[in-house]
Amino acid sequence: MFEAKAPKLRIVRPSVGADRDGRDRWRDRPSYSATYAREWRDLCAFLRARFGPGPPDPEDVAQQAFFKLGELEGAERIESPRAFVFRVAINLMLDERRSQARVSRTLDASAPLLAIDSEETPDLERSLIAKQQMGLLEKVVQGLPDRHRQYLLANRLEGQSFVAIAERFGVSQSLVRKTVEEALAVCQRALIHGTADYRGLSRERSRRS
Amino acid sequence: MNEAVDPDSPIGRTARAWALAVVGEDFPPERSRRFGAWLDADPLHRRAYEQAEAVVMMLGALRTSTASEPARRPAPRWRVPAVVAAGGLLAACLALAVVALPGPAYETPAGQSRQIALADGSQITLAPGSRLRAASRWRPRALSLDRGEAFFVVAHQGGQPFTVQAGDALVRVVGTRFNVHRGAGRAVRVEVEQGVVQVSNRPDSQDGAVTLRAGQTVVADGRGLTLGTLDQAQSAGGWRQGRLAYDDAFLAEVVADLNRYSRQPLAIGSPATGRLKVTAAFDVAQAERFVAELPRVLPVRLTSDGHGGRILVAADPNRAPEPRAP
Repeated sequence: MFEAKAPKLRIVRPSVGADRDGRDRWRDRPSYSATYAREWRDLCAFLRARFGPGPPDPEDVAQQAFFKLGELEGAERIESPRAFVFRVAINLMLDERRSQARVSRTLDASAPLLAIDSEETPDLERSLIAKQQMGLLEKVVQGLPDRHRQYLLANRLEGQSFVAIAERFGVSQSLVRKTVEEALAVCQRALIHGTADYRGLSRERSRRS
Repeated sequence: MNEAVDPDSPIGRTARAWALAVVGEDFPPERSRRFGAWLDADPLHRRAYEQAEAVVMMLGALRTSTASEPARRPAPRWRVPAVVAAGGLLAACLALAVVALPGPAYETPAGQSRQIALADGSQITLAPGSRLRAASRWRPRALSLDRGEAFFVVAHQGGQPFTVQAGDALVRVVGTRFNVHRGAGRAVRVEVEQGVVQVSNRPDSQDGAVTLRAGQTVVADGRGLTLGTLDQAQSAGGWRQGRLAYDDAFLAEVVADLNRYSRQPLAIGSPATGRLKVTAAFDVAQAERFVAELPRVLPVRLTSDGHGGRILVAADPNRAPEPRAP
């Protein structure tokens, strides 16, 4: 009844590409320089088109975004490196704009007092609103039909391109684009009206409960 | 600056397509020039784009909450209803009335196991004396094993992860058959019968996660993760066929398991007794015989607690162990 068992096999976790302090960072990976080489030009051109020549200088912001990517520990599960640098750069630009707008508004006494926009809203209230909006958005996303939710999250959370999602799910790229656009439209409408409305989705609307 | 552009108007649709193309498609510099020209053509274009981009950025920030990651220890509940006058890019009054919706919980009494079929086609066998629950109604594939043991046959669902949290251990899987055991202490044992799962002992990240293949097992405890292999006597989730197997396990762990199968509880007299090591394989039906034989192999004896329960206490060190059966 009590038989002897073979001893357990113990395996020490291997550390891949760790630098001197034992941490594996993105900047030490080959894919980091590959991303840099491939996306740098696209990101700078995009920032210039979207936010103008600056200040802040689009190249400076792109530089900061790549620096943040390099500082990430390799094991951290992030979206595609391309999506990461685009997202970080856009956020840096928006933050910068907000603080610039605050300064100029303080200096410009003729600014309309009743302007209700993000620059005027105090931080605390803005973060409260953001929290509420995130809660609503989460609920809306969870209520999407499976296909819409899966493609949207693959694109937005994992930063996968429409081509990659099409390959992963074995569907056409145009179906992926259409599905993600429909899902985003639901989110936009929900945030404007404060309530979820799943009309306009192709195929059945199957809400999961 | 902030009146919402109708997302279903032609401009709203074009703006949405641009906002998604940035990460969804190739965006070479020529395309950025066309994009810039479109933005500059009409202030309404820019406003519509900024509003679409804001929602896109919010979706990217959902990461911790929606991506089917298991809940941190206190299960998330939907926030209380609130009415907030909203400024921001989407000037809107949000009237949220969201109900608290905890996920379903499954519990088994001592001596009784239970089959659970999830809506996604996954099958779970919950061992006796166990408790399993979903993190929330919206995330039926994020489960938490509060106590006991369960065997999972996970259905593939378009790359959506299936996760089981047990104490500090997090098991992440795409489609496979595996077993999770949560004992009396901090140790959590995961056994894989088929497929591949990832186990980490930090519920908030997959940092340092180990990948487990069929026939492998891992024990996660406060010190880290220890990989091992299953032998035949310990096939994953063998308890489903009424087979219990232990390899150099603490007596306390074995007794905790036995108590999930028996209505007649067995207690352990002292922590030192609980730390005695046991290697054994037996049938649940033979559990009583196993308990009766314990004094022959371990320095313990069985006494009564005077209320119908039994206690395993350290044997009198001066007394010779009971003679072994031939």
